[in-house]
Formats: sequence, C-alpha cells, structure tokens
Amino acid sequence: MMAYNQEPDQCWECYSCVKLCPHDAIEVRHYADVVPLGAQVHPRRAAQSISWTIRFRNGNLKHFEFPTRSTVEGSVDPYAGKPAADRSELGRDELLFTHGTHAADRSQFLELAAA
Amino acid sequence: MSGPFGLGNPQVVEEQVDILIIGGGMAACGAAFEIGRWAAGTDLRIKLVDKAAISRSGAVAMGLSSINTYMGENDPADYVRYVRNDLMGIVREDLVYDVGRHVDDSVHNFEDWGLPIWKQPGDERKSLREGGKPVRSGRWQIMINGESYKWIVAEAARKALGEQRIQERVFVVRLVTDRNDPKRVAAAIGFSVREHKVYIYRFKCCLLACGGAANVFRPRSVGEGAGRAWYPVWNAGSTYAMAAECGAELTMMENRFVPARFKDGYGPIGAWFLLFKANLANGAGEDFNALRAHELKDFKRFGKYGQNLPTSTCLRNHLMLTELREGRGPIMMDTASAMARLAENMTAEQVKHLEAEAWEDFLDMTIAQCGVWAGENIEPDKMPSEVMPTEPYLLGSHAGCAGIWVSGPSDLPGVPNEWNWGYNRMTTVTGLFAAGDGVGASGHKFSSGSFTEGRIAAKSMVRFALDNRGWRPEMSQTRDELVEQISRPAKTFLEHSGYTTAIDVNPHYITPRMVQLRLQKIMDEYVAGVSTWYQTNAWMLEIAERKLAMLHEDSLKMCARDLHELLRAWESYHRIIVAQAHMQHIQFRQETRYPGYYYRTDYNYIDDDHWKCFVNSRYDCATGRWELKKLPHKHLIKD
Repeated sequence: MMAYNQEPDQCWECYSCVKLCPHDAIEVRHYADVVPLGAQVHPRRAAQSISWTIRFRNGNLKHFEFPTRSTVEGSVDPYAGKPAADRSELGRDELLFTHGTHAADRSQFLELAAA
Repeated sequence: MSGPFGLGNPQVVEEQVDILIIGGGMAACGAAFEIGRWAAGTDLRIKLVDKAAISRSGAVAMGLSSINTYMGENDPADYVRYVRNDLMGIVREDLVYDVGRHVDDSVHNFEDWGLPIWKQPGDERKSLREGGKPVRSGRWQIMINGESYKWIVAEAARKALGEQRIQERVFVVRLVTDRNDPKRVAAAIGFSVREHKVYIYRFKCCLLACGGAANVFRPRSVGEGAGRAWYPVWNAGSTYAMAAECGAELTMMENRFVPARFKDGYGPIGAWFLLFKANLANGAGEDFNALRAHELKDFKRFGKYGQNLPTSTCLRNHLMLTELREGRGPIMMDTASAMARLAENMTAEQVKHLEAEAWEDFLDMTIAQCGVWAGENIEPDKMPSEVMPTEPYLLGSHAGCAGIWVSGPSDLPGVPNEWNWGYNRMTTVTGLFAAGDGVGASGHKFSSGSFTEGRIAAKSMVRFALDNRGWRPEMSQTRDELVEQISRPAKTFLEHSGYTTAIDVNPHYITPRMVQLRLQKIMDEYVAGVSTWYQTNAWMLEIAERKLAMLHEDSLKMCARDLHELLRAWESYHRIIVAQAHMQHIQFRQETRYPGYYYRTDYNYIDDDHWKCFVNSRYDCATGRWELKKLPHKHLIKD
C-alpha cells in the first residue's frame, strides 16, 4: 500500500507519520504554494537518536544526528522513586504529590499572609 | 437507533466515569500523571479521551527545542513579574505564581523519564535534580534535545493512567449540563473518527484541555501552506468553544498571539537572538529597533508599558510592523554575520557544532522551516533570512492569555474572593476544570507549565470527585437529541447530496471547508487580520458581528460525507464560536491593550484608567447572545 495524505492543505508537516512508518515509506514534498521544488528533509529515527538528511534544491546536502532520549523506549516508570500521595494534603494547593515545590520568597507578596 | 451502523446512524456507546480528561496534550498528560497517584486506592473511575493518539498529539507533537518555563535560580515571584510585563499588566498573578512554584518539579520528572536536557560544560552527567546547570537560552528557557519530548511524556502518562483508561481517536465536541443544575456539567459527547460510533461520557467532573485555536484567521499561506500554521492546525479552539457553550465564563479573549517568525516556515527566531546574537534589519539594512525604539516611550499611546524592560513581545512586534506598514520591509535576520562573528573565536569543530544546533532548533519543532530554507537554497551561515509576523492565534499557554476564567489556589496572600471558589482550576461551571491553553489571563506556561497546570487541576478534580461521591449526573438533553446534533452534518449530506452533480456545490448545504474559508475571510478583513495590518475599529467590528452571526446560522447546514469531514465540521463550528468570542471582546475593550497584536484604530492607545481590568464574557446558547463585563484587576506581587 502506498502512503496517502487525504487532506494536504490541512497537514502540519509535523512528520509524525514519517517518523513512525516502519517501512520508511513516507516522504514529504513541501507545500507547493510556497516552497520551490527539489528540496527534501528526511529523518531516520533510531532507538535513542534521530538523523536528518537535508537536500537543498541546488543539490547541497546536510546531515545531522541528535539524541532523542536517554532511556530505552517503553522503560519509563512514571512513579519510580516518587512518593505516594497523602490524601490528607488534597486541600493544600502549595503541594503536588511529589512535594517538589520551588523555594519561594513570600516577602515578594504585597500583602503578607496574616499567619 | 439500531444497526447496520454507518454514516448518520452511529452506534452509541455510553460510559459512566467519575473524572473525564478531554485532550491528550501536555496538560492532559500532566493530569494523567498526577491523578494516577491521588486516585490510587480510591474507587474513582477515570478516562482520558483524545481525538488523536497521545504519543504525538497536542502542540508538542513535533517536538520542541527548548523548555520555555523553568525557574531554576529564579523565584516564582520573578516569573510573575516577567509574565505580567509581557502581557501588558493584566494577568491573574495567583495562577501564574501557582504554575511557577510547581513547574520545575515537572521538568525534573521529564528528565527522569529520559528527556535530554542540555547542561553547562562540566555538568553534562548531572541531572537538574542533582544540581546540574542547564544551558539557558533566556532567563526562563532551557535547551533540550526535544524531538521525542511528547513521546516520552506520553509514555509516562500512559503508564500512570493505564491503557484501559485511555480512549484515542474520539473527538469530544460538546459538553452537556446537568438537568437539575444548569450551572453544572454532567456529560460530554463525541464521536470516533475511525468508526461510526458516538460516545457519551457521564461524569462528576472533567478537565477540558484541547489546546488553543489556529486557522481562525486567514493564514498568510492559503494553498497547501495553510496547514503549515505556526500553532498546530488541529487546534480548533474546541476548549474555548465547548466551555462557552456550556456557560463557562471566558476571560481575556481579546488577547491573541502574533508570533514573529521566519517567514513562511514559522521557524523560531528566539534562539537566533539569544544564542547566536543575530540582528534584525529593515530592507534598507537599518537596525530599526535602535532607530525607532524611542517611539515606544510615547506615554500617551503606550503608557508605562513602553518604558519597561524587557520590551513586551507585542511592542517588539509593533516596531517590526511599523517598518512593514510604512514600506520599509522586508525584515531580515542577519544569520550569516552572526555565525561569522561567533566563528571568529571558534575552531572549525565548534562552528560545525553551532550550525547543527541552529538546524536542530528547527528540526525539533518546525521541520517545515528546514524545507523552506532547503527549497530556497538558504544556508543560514551564507545568507540572511526573512522574518514576518504571522496571522493571529488564540491561546493561553504560549505568549498569549485568552481562555477560561478559573478559580485559583487558596493559599496565596491578597487574593480577592472573586478569584477563588474552592477548587483550583475549576471554571464558573461546577465540575468543569481547565488547564494549559484553556486557562486564561495567565500566559507563558508553555509546555512545562501546561503539564504542571494539568497536574494542579487533576489533584483538584480528585478532591472534587471525592467531595461529590453521592452525586449522580443527569443530562439536560436526551441521548437521542445529542446523537442527532452530532450526526446532523452527515444526515444533511445523505439527504441532499443527490440534488446536484458536484458534490461540493449544493444549495442545501455548505462544506466545512467553505465554512472555514468564510470564517477566515471575515476575521482577516474585519477583525484585525494580516490584510489590514492587524487594524480594526467599531464600524468594522459591527460588520463582522453580522457576518459571523449568519455564518453561525449556516453552520447548522454543514455537510459531512465521511467521518473525516464530520471532524472538520465540528472543528469549523468550534472555530466560529471562538471567533465570535474574540470579536466580542475586541469590540468591548475600547483601547489598544496589545499594540503589535492588534489595533483598535478608534482607540489607538493603552488606557489604564479605564481598562486595567479583566474582560470576561458569557455566551448564552439559547439566545446566541454574549454578555461582557469588566472585572477588577489586582497585583499580588511587588513591582
């Protein structure tokens, strides 16, 4: 099956489909009402990095590679090392469950807390 | 209804939950993360529903090259001062402060989950938690390798919530009030964009977090380029529209954001200013900022805001617009000289690294800009590049503050009673919560702040749901009425498509595409779009009001030949409501609060004596009327 874009003028060119395609079957021809022909920007996503090839209209090429993540995909444990929530704190707006509230200088408030 | 199910005759799926999260972007993911902990050990039923797939949905879909809100060495009070200065004095300082004090914790979590955050030399192996010093590209921004930013955050959100509590590819389009209390939300209805199914969720409370609004105005590119908007093209203003239709008060909907970006590709220019020290010049090569920044000192026009440093984003836009309007364009960014200057004291290796950083800035979040440069043979180290203010966008998380009026935190000194009604981030509709782009009068949250605000709202929703354990939602409309409304465009198509030989041309219906184009034309020409250089006045707005009302009426005759077009029909409908809100607010506020974003040419000055206040609005679904009012403003933080 060939790739198909059902509504090219409502496409953001976010490349999510290009990056995700396991067969590397999707390439982008940039929006023709603006961009001269002949250029191409194409990614290859690896486990923890992405490489990009940029081909200019004049044939010049650039190649870049950047890290994308420091952990293995699928390995994220959102709560690893983080405390459980204490529901007696549900009404305390200064706290989220992680208790990572930034240090704050209360004297910056025009009206200091009565307490 | 019964089978066989198909277009116009969907299967109806009903589900009862306690908490519904509508949306899948950064705010919704933050909510998922926080709620997983607070709801653990309770019997609360939770569901997250997104019209796309959360691994790549929302404004961070493409990735980002920086996190724009990170306190670090700054105090949250400094952040409030920065945000209120940039948004011309009028913000809810309680909401801004609340995001500021919690945001770093969110960023630390992103790093734990695998997001690469740039560090100062020597600190490369140290996490932010361990005291690693980030690379700042501004006082509040830190640089990241952010191609997989959303992917990583969504992975954490998915696991926090569990796959069984996530429903993707369902577009929620309408909220339903409670039968016994019209000021309370009871349900939400939407449809699958893949199958002929309508979903009705009944709940005790919900988080409305479906992003801001792009393509309400005619974009500068109107062909294929129309979709390559600066903000994601799928942001249809659904957050504001659904809230308004449910009776929630909106705030500061006159605000908009007009980003100055590399022309036609929307590539960010911030890093070129901050990291590469590049200069902007007009067509004649003049440094117009140096030449004309003194014009901002005109106190009668710009009040005290023109004296402030750093200069607000809208006022910087104003200087650029003045050049363009007076015929001194184009605006060029001298990328080549900037790179040459930096290269003077660098090795070839360092220069190569610098060039890669410049390209990564685009490749991480606005790939199309690379396409424009490659197509036009622009290499930034060899030639300059054009910069242009874009069409207007409505949003509450970036450098704008349109949105919904919400209750704030209860522990901050000096907060007026009107800013707090018991549940943080709850709107004026009981049970309806907002975050991210949805919350108004508190911009500059960006990705990290939106995630954080989702967390704040989630904690609050758990409290609300537990406080309302015994309450049972009952919908003010019947299931059949709701399904009928959802399916109307499909039924209209089926009923009338045989009347003509051209599927798009029919006197009995209008395609969602034509509705969008008509809306964009009205907004562009009368409500301060690009074609009038962002200028409007009372007379133009009066025409806009009339045309928008007719468009709203005609939207009931939209057609949908398939589920994709049904999606577009409802997005177009949401955009109309958002456009009406924006237009009404601009009409009401008789001053030019945001020069550079829009001008009321009949009140072309900032008027703190009369308009240093919030403007809130409420839409009455039954009559189609908007009620607007002023609300007093108050500063909480010292100057």
